[in-house]
Amino acid sequence: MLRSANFVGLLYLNLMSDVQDYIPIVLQSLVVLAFVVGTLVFAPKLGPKLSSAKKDANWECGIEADGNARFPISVRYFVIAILFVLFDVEVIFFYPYAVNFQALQLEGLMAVLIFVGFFLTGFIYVLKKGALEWEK
Amino acid sequence: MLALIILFLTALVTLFVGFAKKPLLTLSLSVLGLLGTAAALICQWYHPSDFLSSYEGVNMDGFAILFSLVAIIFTILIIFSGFEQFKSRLDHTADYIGLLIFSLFGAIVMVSFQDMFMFFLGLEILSIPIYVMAGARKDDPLSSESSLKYFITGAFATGILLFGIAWLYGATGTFKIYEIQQFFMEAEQISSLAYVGLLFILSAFLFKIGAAPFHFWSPDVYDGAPAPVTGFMAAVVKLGAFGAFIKLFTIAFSELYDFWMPALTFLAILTMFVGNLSAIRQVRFKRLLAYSSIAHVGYSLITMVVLTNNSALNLWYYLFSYGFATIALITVQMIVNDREDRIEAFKGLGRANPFVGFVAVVALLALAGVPPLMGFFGKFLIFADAISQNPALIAVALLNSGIGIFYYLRTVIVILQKPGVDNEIEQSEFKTTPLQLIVLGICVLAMLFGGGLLMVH
Repeated sequence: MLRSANFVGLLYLNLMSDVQDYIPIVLQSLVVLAFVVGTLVFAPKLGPKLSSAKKDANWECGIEADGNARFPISVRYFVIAILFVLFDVEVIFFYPYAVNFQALQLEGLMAVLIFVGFFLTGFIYVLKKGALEWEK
Repeated sequence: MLALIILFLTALVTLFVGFAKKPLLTLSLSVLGLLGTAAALICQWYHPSDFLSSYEGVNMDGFAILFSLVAIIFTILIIFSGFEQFKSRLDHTADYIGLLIFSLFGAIVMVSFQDMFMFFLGLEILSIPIYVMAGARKDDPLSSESSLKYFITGAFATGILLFGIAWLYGATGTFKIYEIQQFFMEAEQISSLAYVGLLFILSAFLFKIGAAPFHFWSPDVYDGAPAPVTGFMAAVVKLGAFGAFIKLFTIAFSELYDFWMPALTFLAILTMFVGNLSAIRQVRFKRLLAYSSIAHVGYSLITMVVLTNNSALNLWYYLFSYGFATIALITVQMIVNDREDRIEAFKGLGRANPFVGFVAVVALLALAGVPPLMGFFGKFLIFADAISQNPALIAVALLNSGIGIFYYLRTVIVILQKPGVDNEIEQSEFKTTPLQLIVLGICVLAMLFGGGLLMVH
């Protein structure tokens, strides 16, 4: 049988937890908000302030600022960064496998071998494509 | 499953064969792999095999096989017609073809999914290569723009879809579509979480197929993307998304029909009007195709609004006919090869190259739904199936077909005109390659005699 429902039904949300359950979360958010706003508003007003040309400069950690930060960066940096993330994430998958090595038996080993195989294929592709060569 | 494995290996092999820098070798190997996949699917049709049947995530049933076969045919045609463009960048030829095959892999996963996880995975595998391919012309800012636009809006839609799946899981406690159906049948009271989830999933789907009001990405992306990719998006991506769409809604959400039917009816009407009315004013050919594809999504949505036993087959047939016409027109667009992609550049095509002109006219008439072409039978099936249940909707659809005929015929007139004597628009040369002629030949045969498919079933 087809049940009819309408958009009005959406208004009476039948959530599994009661509204009271969320009061601690609301309180916590209020505290967080109050802390952030409070520090931002009161800290500059309460503390003593001394300003000078040297102190207001952008880099006051010992090295003179040189040039603009917004210059074009070689796209190779991004390619290498993305590849790094990709292969780094692969390593993360090994950890749960290593923990469950005994329980997963041969089937688990096969799955991991296939996984590594695909990643290796990708790595060979990257190498052959010359994405890791810095100078061309 | 076997077909999926063959397809995946084909894509991998294609990528690696590319290092040999022999485009013809790459092409023949990839097409061989695609034909092998099709053969595996046909074997599956006659002998449902038990290969890896313990895995329940995908199921190659008759529905999935029909949709997959069409997707494979379209991919082969697009690789053929775009080969000239792929070949021009020798170091990327294999990447282009490989990415298209990976995307096809996603489409096949999408039409054969059995649980929401595989569905999501299929959608991602389908979309991500297309994000890349849309930006394949790296020196063209329009192409990069379309890639970025598609990626950002597409990622957003995927987020909404995942959110919807999470809500649905919260309401039903399962990812499997048959278990979701079971749950809705047995539940005494359906949690409103399920309705919210359904609406989220619906919006993500409407985005993927480019239905109003989630269509704004499609003209820009279709316009900027390289022509073969535009054809792929219109033919294969739409096929995959629609296949998954109708499967999900007829199985998992069949009990909630009364809830989503009114929304979808309204959206179908809106989509038809937006597509057709916007198409009238277009001067660029690919933008015209984009709006025409929006209009065709509107007609296709009618199969979902009026669910009958024939809906899936009607939808399949309609997308089949639509794909052939679109691929033919995209191929013609590549032959005309106007830098600014003006419709005006088609002027004189009928005289300069009668065969190409003929195919273009047939394809436009097929899109308009003129008998005895395949597009007519597609529309006829959908409208005839729906008219008893929802005559008002069909009246609106017929009105829209009328609007559609106007701009399709206008383009036909441009093609049949004499080449311009004024030197304002320089005449293109209309260079064709044998592969493109093969594609055009297959498309025109399919459009002329595709109606015969109806006698089979």
